[in-house]
Amino acid sequence: MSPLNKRLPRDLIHNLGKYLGIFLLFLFAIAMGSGYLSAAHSIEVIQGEMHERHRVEDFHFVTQFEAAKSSLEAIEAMGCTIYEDFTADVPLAFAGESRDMNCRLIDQDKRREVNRGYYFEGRAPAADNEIALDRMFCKNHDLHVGATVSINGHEATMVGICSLSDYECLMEKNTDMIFNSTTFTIGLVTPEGMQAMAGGKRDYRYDGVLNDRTMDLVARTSFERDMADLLADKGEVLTDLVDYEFDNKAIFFATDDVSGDQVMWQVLVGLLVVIMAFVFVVLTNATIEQESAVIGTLLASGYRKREIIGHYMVLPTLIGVLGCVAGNALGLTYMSTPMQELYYGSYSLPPYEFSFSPQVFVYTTVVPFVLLEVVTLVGLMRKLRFTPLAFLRREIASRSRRNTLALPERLSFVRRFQLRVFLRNLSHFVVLFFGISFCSLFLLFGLCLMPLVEHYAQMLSQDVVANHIYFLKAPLELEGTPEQRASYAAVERLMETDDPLSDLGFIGYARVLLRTMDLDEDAHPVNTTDNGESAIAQAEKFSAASFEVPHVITDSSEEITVYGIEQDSRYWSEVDVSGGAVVVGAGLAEKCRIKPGDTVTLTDKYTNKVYELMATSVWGSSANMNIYMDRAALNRMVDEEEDNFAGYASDEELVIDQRYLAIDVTPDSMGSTADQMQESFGDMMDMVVAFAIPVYLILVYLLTKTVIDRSSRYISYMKVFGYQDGEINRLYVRAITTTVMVSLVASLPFVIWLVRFFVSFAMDRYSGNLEIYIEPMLLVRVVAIGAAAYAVVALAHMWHIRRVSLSEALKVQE
Amino acid sequence: MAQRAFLSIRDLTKSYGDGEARTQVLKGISTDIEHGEICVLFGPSGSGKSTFLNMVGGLEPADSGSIYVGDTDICQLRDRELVEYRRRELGFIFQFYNLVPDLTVRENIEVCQYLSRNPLPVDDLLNSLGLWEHRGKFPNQISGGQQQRCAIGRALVKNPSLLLCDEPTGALDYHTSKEILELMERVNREYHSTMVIVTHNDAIRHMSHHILRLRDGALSEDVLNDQLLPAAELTW
Repeated sequence: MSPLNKRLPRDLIHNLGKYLGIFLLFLFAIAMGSGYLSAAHSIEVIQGEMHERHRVEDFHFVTQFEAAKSSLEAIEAMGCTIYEDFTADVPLAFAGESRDMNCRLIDQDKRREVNRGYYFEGRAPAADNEIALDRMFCKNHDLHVGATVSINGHEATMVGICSLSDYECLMEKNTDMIFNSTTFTIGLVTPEGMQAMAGGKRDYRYDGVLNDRTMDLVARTSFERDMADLLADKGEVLTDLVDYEFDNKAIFFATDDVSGDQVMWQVLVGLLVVIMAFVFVVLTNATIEQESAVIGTLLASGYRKREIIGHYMVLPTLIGVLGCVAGNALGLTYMSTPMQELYYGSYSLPPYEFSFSPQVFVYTTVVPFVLLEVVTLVGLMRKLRFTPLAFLRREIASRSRRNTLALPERLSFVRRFQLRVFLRNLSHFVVLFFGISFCSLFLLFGLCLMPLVEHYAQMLSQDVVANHIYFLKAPLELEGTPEQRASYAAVERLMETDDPLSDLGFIGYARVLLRTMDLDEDAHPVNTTDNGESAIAQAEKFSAASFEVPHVITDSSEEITVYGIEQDSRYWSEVDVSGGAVVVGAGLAEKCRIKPGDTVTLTDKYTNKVYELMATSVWGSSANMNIYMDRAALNRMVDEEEDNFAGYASDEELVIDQRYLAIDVTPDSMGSTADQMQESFGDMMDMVVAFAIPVYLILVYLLTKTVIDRSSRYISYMKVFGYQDGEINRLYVRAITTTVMVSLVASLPFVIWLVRFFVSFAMDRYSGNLEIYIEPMLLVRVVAIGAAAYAVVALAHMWHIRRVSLSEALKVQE
Repeated sequence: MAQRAFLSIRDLTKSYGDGEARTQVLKGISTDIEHGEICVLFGPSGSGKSTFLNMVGGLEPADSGSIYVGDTDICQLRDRELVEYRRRELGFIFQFYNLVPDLTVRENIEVCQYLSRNPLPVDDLLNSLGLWEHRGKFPNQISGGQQQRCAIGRALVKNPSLLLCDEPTGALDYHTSKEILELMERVNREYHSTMVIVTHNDAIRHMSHHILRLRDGALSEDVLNDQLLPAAELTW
C-alpha cells in the first residue's frame, strides 16, 4: 500500500467539512431520490397489478333511468360482461363535523365480481344499519371502526375501513379538478342497507368487463362508442360513459399523479446531480491547487500520474460509496414511510408492498456515483496534464485576465480587495449562483403552492355567479299546477317502490296509478315541491353540454362545459351572448391559447361529433374553463329542443327532487378544492422545503469554503501584518456575503421562470387552469430563508478564519 | 574510446519564448560529473542554474544536446521513461522542502521508500539524520532545518545514484545551513551518491569536488577542487 494513503484519515479529519458536505449532499440527494422514486415505483407496481388482481372495470356507463334488460344483453353480445352497480349519493353526517358531506352508497354484493374492495380494518357490513367507509375519508376525519354516522338521516355503525379498486382516489365527479376525501366518501352497504339508507334514489351505473381484456385504448374506446350508439338505438339515455384508462379519474388520477410526480422528481434529482457535478469540479480543482507543491514533488520524485490520481481518488470514492450506501439505507427505510405517505395520505391504495427497481437504483445511486468518479477523474487528469515543474511552481491555476484586471483606484482598498476575491473565485461563484438558484427553486416551489391553491379557489368562487347552480340529470320544471306536482309525486312514489302492490296495497297502488294518468308525456316533468312564486321567478334556466377541447402542448384534452344562457341573463349579466356570440372563459383561453376570432374545436367524446365555434370574446377569472353561448343556439347545436335546459342558476335555495338533482354548486363548495389540495400537497411541500434548506446550507458551505481555503495562506499573511480577525472577515467573508446575497436576489427571475415551468408541468394533468401567481411576500421569504441559512455558513467561515494560524505564513513560505 | 563520465552533458541548449521575446537560457553547456562527486553550480539569478537542474532531473526538455546519466541519454527518453528515470535514479531536495503536511516525518520519508526497489532502512536514516525523536511529528511541528533534513531523508531513502539539490540551505539560517551541509557531506561519503547542488552560497565550493559557474547561460567556470574543506570548517 502506498504510504501516501496514510494521510487519508488525516486529510479526512483536516478537511472534514468538505468531505462531510459531499457525504451529506450524497446522502440527501440519494435518500430523497431513492426514497421517493422507490416508493413511487412500488406504488406503480401495485397500481399496475390492480386491474387483474381486483378485476377493475374496463368501462362503466350511467343511464338516466334504469336500462332495459334487452339493452344490456345487446351490449353483452358485443363482447363484454355488464354488472349492475347502482349507487346513491346521500348526505353523510357525524358528530363534530358541520360541513355538508356526500356519501356514495354502493351495494357490496355488486362488487364481488368487479371493482373489488379491500378492508384495512374491521369487516364487511352484515346488517342494514352497518356501513364501511373509505380509508382516506376516515383518516381525514379520525373516524374509527365502531363510530356512529348518519347516512341520509339513518343512523349507521361504521364496521369497516375499506378502499375500492375503482376509487383509488375519491373523485366525486369526473370533471372535478381534484379528488375530495374531505367531504366525499364511498360507503359499502348490504343490499338491505342500500334500500334502507338511500330509499328509491339511484344512479344507474353499469360496470363493464371486456371479454378481451388485452384490448388497447384505441380499440376499447371504439368499442365503447359502438356501445353508446347501440344504447341510444335502444332508447337508453346515457348520462356518463367512462373508460377506465382514458377518462376515469377515480382510477387513473392516482396513477397519473405518481408517474407525473416521478418525472418531476427525476428532473429535480437530475438537476441536483448536475449541480453536484459542478461542485465536485470546483472541489477537485481546489484540492489540486492546494496540493500543487506536494504533487510536483511527488512527480519529480518519480511518482506516476496514475499513482497520484489513484491517491486523490480514494477519498471521493470512499465518501461517494458511503453516501450511496447510507443514502439508500436512509431512503429505503426511514424516508420510505413519509414518501409512501405522499400518496397513501391522498389516495385509497391497497396495502404497500416494496418492489425493487433497478432503474431507480441506477438513476439515484449509480448515476451520481459515476458522475462523482468521472468528474473527479477528468478533473484530476486535466490538471495533471501540467508538468511536474508547473506543479512545483504552482502554475496550474488558470491565469485568467480577470485576475490581473486593473481596478479603479477611486475605489477604497477594501472594495478593491473584495473585488479581487470575487474575481479570483469567479468560477466558484458562478457555480454558487446556480446552486443558490436550485435551492431557491426548491424553496419557492415548496412555499408557493399553498397560496397558489388558495388563489385558485378564490378565482373559482368568483365564477359561480349565483348562490346555487343546480345541475339536473334531466329537465325538471319548477313551475307547475298542484295537479301536475301530485302526478309526478305519484311517479316518484312508484319509482321508489320495488313491489308497489304489496307495499302500497291495492287501493293505494290504484290511486297512485290514477294520478299518473294525468301526466303529459311530451312535457318536461314538474318538481314535486312548490318552491314558491318568488323563488321560481328569480331562478334562471341554463343548458349545458360537456365537450373535449384539445390542449396546445400535449396530446391531451380538457373536458369543459359549454353553458347555454339567456341573452339578458340576470346571473351572467356581464356575458353578452347576443347575436351568436361565443364567450370563452379566461382560464380556458389561457390554457388552450384561444383568442377572440379563433375557432374552438369541441368534441363530444360519446358520439365523437366535432363542433366548431368562433370565439368572440373572453370573460371570467383565470380559473374559468367554460364557454358561454345563447341557450337556444347551444340546444340547436346539440340537436336538442330549443327550450331544453340542464339546470337552474338561483340566488335562493331551492328544493329539487333528488332523483333529478345532479349537483348543487355553491361559491363555498369551491373552497373544498383548496382544502383538498392543501390536504394532499401540504406534506409534500413541507418535505420540499425541509429538503431545500440543508441542501442549501451544504452547497453554500462547500462552495464558499473553497474560497476561504485557497486564501488561507494570504489570510495568514494578513494576520502576520497585524490584521485582526474582524478586519479579515471584512475582506473575505463580506466579499462572499455580498456575492451570496446578490446571487439570492439576482437568481429570482430565473427561479420564478423555473417555478412557473415546474408548476405548469406538475399541474398539466389537472383539469382547470391554475394561474401561477407568486406573491411578492414569498420572494421575500425565500431570500430571508436563504440569508438565514447563509448566516450559519458565514459563522462557520469566521470560526475557520480565526483558526488560520500564523505559522502557515511563517513556515511554509514560497 | 574513453569511458563516459557518470553524468555527461554535451552541447545542452534551452530557450524560452518566441520571436523577439525569445531568450536563450542555456547556450551549449558541456561538462562531465563523475560518480560520487559533489558538484556545485553557482551563478547569478537568471543565469540558468535552475533550468540546468530541471533538465538533468528530466523535468524540462532540452532544445538540443544530450544528458547522459550512466549509459542513458535522458534527452531521448519519452515521458513515461522519464518517470522511470526519476523513480529509479533521482533524489530531489528543494529549497522549501515541499513535505506533505499531513504525513509525519517518518511517513514523508516512506513516500519515496515506496518507490524504490532497493531502499535504505528508514530507521537508520532517521537516526543518521537526527530525526529519530521527531519521526512522529508533522512538518508544521518541526523547525525549518528539521524539515530540510526530512526532505533530504526523503530524497536519500530511494538510494538514488544522483541527488539534485535546489538551494538546499536557501531558506535556513547560518547554523542550520551548516548542519545541513555537514549532513550532505556525510551522505555523500556514506552513500556515495553523486550530488548536484545549485546554490548562491559561495562557501559551498570548498566542500565540493567539482565547481561549475554559469553566466548568461554559458559555463564561465568548470573546475575540479582538490583542496577540499570539511563542511564543518566552512564559514561565510
